Amino acid sequence: MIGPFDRLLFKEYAVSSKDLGIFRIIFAASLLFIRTGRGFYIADLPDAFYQPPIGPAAFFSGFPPAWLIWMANIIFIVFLTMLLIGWKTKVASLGAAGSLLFINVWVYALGKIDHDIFLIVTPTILAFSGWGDQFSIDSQARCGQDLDDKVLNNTPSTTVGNPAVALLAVAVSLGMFTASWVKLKTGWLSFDSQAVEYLLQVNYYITGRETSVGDYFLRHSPTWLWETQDWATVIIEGLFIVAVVRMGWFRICLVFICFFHIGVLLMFAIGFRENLITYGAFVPWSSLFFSGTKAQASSGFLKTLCRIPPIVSVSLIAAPVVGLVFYTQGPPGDLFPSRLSYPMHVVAGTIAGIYFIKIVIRSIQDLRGGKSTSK
Amino acid sequence: MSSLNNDVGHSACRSRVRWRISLAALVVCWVVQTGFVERFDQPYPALHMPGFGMPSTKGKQYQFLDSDIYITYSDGQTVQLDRNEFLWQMPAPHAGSTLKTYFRIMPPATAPKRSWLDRLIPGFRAAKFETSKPWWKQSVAEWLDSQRSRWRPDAGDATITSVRVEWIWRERLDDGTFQNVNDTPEYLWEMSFGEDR
Repeated sequence: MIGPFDRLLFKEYAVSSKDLGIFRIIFAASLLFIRTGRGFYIADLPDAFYQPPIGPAAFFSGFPPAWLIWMANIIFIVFLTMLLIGWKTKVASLGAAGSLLFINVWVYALGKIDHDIFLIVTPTILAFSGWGDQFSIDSQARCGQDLDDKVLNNTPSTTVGNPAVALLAVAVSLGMFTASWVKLKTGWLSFDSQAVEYLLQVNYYITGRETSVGDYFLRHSPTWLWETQDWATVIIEGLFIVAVVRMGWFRICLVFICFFHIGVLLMFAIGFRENLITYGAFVPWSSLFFSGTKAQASSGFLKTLCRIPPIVSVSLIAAPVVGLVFYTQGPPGDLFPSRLSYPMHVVAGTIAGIYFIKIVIRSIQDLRGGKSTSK
Repeated sequence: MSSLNNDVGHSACRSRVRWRISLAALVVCWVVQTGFVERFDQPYPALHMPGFGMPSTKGKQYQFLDSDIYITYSDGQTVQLDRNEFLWQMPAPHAGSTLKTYFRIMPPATAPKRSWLDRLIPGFRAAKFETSKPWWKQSVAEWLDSQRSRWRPDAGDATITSVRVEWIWRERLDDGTFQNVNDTPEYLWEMSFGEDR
């Protein structure tokens, strides 16, 4: 007999180390593009604007000098690069989380907190998930010559639940619940007012994020549709806390929240890239992308990578990123239109869509199977 | 062999206990954090997602507290800016928050009383308690001076003599146009710098 908490931790989230390995690469690469080069502007601001929330910055009385933010960004890039190639993965994961936290602490000392905490929680927890066990220099060092067997064998490396992934799912659920709870408390479900409509108006007219979809909705959306959006938002965010007990349910919630994020991006021009990256921890990447040919290619690439001293690999990747950060004075993703928000949402939406269609097809098949059995 | 099996068993058991403790710690920390948010403010870091607020409604017409910023130079010229032009260094949401915090309500004559938590951690919301002090005004004045050519490229030697921020309730009408709800601003923040220089 297994208790509900043990089932959640040790049975439910059976994610293969291959999936986690691919996710580690996606996570590190995404952060290198969109989350590096942060906070340079704070050194130019007067201490008159320094009002940190409770946290590490509250023990100081002013913004740090520019060189410190630069150092933290370079350290962050180095740790992300180590994570990307899977060299000393545990240290790299915790280092990346720590350096991003360090930068954020100062950026949010202005008093406004952006809600990108999942980007810190994810590597902190997954450091202990074994996400460096595949497609990494660590795995090569550990397993020696059996890399071919490990990479080419397409069976999942793990069939039991991964407690780190389960813990991450719980963290995501608790985070989402806080959003739902505030909305519930402040009357989003009241029929007297339509919160999404109000927020869209503020966003469109005052913040100045004018979108075609937002314009269309503001002109044509009836009250009942606004109210439906209020309810849907509260329900989707709140459902995570229940759905987390089963990975299948949790993934369905992720599908809906991906569609929700796409809607928010189109209407509000507000991207939730940070959350989308985290949801990738629950995607069965190997079944989406991993054919035998690609496995062979990645095996060959890894072997080549392992012949180069890791410190050289890290330098070769990190140096251009630092150069781009210096050039843009922000993340390298700023070089692209819309800062990669739209492509990232399209990828998330496509994966969510494929998964949703698979669920629908499986449900129809189950229904037909059930009927034929009953006949 | 059996000793080896025992060692593996003990190690797996210890690992399971560590994961159970981690789960319990995560939930307990989240509960404590939620209580803290309810009582005080959102800490950072915190496992917290944005809840947004509730609309201020008047019938079916939604009202927004909008801001107009006027900067007057020593040569008598005044430029009007929006919040993103005024606080151009910051991302837009941070600019809105900073403007609301410092440029809405005039600093009180004396510093407000700090709560026990504010006294315990002096940096917490620090600047909010400092706006009545001379150094705060001096710090803002120096920052304004460093930005004067940015806001008005032809400023030359003209210095900034005053900043005026008007907060006005506006509402959107059914035809999509806007109108001021009142003739007078809801909040008025104004600071002159001429005499200090």
